[in-house]
Amino acid sequence: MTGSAVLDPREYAHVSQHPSIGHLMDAREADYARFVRTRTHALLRSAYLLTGDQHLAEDLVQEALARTHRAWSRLAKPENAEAYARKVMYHAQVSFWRRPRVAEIPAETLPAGAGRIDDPAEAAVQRLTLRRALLALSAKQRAVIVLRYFEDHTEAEAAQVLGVSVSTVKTQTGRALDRLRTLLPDLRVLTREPPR
Amino acid sequence: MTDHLRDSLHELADEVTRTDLYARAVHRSRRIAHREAAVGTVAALAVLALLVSGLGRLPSRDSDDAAPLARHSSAAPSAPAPTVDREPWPAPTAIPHSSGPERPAGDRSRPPARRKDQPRVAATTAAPKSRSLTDLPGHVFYQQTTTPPDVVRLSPGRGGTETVLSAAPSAVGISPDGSRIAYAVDGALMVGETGSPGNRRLATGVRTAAQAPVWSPAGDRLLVVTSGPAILQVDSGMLTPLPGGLADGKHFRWSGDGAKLVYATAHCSLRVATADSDATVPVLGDRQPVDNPDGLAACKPTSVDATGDHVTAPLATTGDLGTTSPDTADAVIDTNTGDLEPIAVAGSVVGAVFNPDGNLLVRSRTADGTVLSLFSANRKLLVQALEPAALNDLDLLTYTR
Repeated sequence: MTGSAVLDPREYAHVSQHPSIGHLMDAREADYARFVRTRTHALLRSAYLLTGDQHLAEDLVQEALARTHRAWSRLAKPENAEAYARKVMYHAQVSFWRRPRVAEIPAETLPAGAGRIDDPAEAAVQRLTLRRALLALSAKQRAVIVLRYFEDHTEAEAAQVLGVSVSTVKTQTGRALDRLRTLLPDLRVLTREPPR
Repeated sequence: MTDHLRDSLHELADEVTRTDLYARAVHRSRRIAHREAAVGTVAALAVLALLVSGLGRLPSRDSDDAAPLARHSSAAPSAPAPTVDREPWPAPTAIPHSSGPERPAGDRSRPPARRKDQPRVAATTAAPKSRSLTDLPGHVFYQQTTTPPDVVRLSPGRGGTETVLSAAPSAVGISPDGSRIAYAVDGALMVGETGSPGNRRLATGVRTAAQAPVWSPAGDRLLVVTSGPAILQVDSGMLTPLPGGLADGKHFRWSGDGAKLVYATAHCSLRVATADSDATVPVLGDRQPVDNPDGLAACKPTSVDATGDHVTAPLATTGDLGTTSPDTADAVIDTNTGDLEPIAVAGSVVGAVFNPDGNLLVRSRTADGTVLSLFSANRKLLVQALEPAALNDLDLLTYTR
């Protein structure tokens, strides 16, 4: 068995229930480990859309999880942890990181419009096109797109996560959709504002 | 048609590779925790090295460091400390409105605020003067995490715990000597002896959501919120509103010398009000990444040291604005610089609180259990002992004489 801080996920459940060594891992630490192991991938998916890069996404989620770890004893309910981590993640991506955390790509380099998406090659091209289009948005615009259209948050919920007003979310969403329509003319029909 | 965009985003997100970030996250968390303490740790190791090499036999300049412990150990719990007699916090009307230009708290005859890349100095020590809980002077108050919570008093010198208020109907305030308790029942402020049923009603229309009743260091006044923050004379019941400049403040706390009030703003920054100034604590709550790269914030100060130079608070981030802040502090903040003061204990800090004399009580979780560490005002470790297990599931509320 490895140390408690680097447990193999396959060993984790066994360790946390083992009476003789259970004291080695504080119950709260066990809860935190369980949270990380079960929710990291979901956080990574959002982070990947925010950063457009696997390594940057991992860095972003690592930071969010670390700050969640720091706050773990203060979280009133463990079930609030994911909301806290997501909030930290979005806030870090939008506000904190002074260095560019995405590979910004000029819009002029976007490939031509996508073709039939039932063609695997064309689907891959379309994903690349969408990824580059997302990276052409500002950090806040990208955040509202991910919050609204990937995580299916309402405008009010997105505003709460980002710590901005609802009107800011509306404005940023509108600008982001306009930008996507410009960058992705073939996907224009995809970005109609949802009725909520 | 947004379904197509939604589907496209999900397909794009499917590209991410599944990764286990637990070890990395914990490592990063520890780096964050230790970053601020790094210089202090080096200093502590240097001190240890000096001691080991025999240089520690040199005459100590801290020979009176034990005085706080001895003084508190021998003093009756209700005996006022010398600092209580001088309480220069003026009548509320003497506090100026904050209409003038704001000064950072660091401008108050202090060196300029330390830049984030400058080293800090931390006081720490290798071993406590005592490892016996009975040497912990005064009273430690806890409350249950359930609602409504019971309030429990630990009096180590007396060797026991006692529930002093069952099912507290509101946030409570404990007097600096631990002998009296204040709370609100349906807006009526009740004050009485801790653990005694006979409480008297002092005021009505009191709100406790953003302001628990806070006792002045001398125990003769309470800061409460009615239509706004106000100071209540305990003996007469006379209520005097704080000036308008402080009306939007939350979670006011008195410094031990009574000269300063530390409070939080709606934007989770801290301010320090004195008789002639009302200054912002740097960094915390600042939305500018250049000035606050870690996005730190403090929404709820819980205690202030004797001079108002340090405050305890649950550390938050600017992303926490609008969320419910925990009640238990886990950080010590320098009000002059906004720096976090390293807390030289092992494990995770789950509580930190100053008593009116500036002694800092830290509660930490370790592999061995929950530990109480008492530091003097100059951060000498006086007592470090295991907390009684029966209290482990409670939250630290306050620490009194």
